[in-house]
Amino acid sequence: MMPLDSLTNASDEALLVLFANGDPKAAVVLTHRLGPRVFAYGFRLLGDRTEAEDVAQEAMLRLWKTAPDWRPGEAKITTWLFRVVSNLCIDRKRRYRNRPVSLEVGADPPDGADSVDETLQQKARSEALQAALLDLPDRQRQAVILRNIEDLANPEIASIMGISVEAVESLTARGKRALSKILNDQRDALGFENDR
Amino acid sequence: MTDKDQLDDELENFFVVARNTPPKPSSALSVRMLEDAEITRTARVHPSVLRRPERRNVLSEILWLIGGPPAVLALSAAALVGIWIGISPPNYMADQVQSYVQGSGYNETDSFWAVDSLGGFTVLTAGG
Repeated sequence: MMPLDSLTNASDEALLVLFANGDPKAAVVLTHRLGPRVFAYGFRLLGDRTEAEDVAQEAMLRLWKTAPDWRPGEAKITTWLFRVVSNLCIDRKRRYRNRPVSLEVGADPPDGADSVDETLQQKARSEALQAALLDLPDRQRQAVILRNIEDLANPEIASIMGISVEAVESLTARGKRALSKILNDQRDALGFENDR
Repeated sequence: MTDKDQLDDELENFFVVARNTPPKPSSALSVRMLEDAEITRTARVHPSVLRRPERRNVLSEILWLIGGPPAVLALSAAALVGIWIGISPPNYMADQVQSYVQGSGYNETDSFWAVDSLGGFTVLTAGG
């Protein structure tokens, strides 16, 4: 078994191979590296903390189970996980269509936030964006989150969503237009003027 | 700067905030993920104990439902001890059963529940 320190620089794929070979420390590194990201994506899609945690746990469980059959080089692990989370979230949204959602994002303000006003404004913006995202159609929301928040390239998003790159571009463009329109209505409350 | 560019810039500010302040999961979530990982890993290391049989028939289903080979071993051990006690019971048990069977016959107060299992302590209690 390799020491934990030496695993932190290993690639996701290398860690998954180690886990498949019985190394429990590889799971620790993968969980800390991928778990929060998988949860954040699920939360932005669903708007519900508990549901997002369940989805993230299920996605990671599927990763553990698929580890021995993983074929290196075929797909990035993050791409595969985002696809699993997307499908799980779509299933849940179908099942709980009318459930109220939480808009509270719950993250700490970044270290650079140097005043109470700025911190409050960032929190307000974060929550306003989350609320606006939840107003978008599912596919637009998914595309915008993957492109503009997860910062993935269009071909990777196309692979996750099972659509063409052109379709991704169209979805993100329409999603951003809709977001601008929703957020523009709240520009005074959210302090747009301060950015100019 | 056109209106479209300005809107894009304003929206980008929201995305920057979102990227810098991702929602954080509870610490319990990583514990649950690691528990799942360990269960999955253990099932691979000891497949006969935890993994459901791939080729299923009635016998293998029953075996899996009661807990697999370890449970069968435990049940077998318990059954053997039962048979052994039946064939060669401890002395105090044989005396109790014999006196019951060869006694004055059944009366309403007789019952296996009324068997004095602490007969050996009679002397101690009589001595105060």
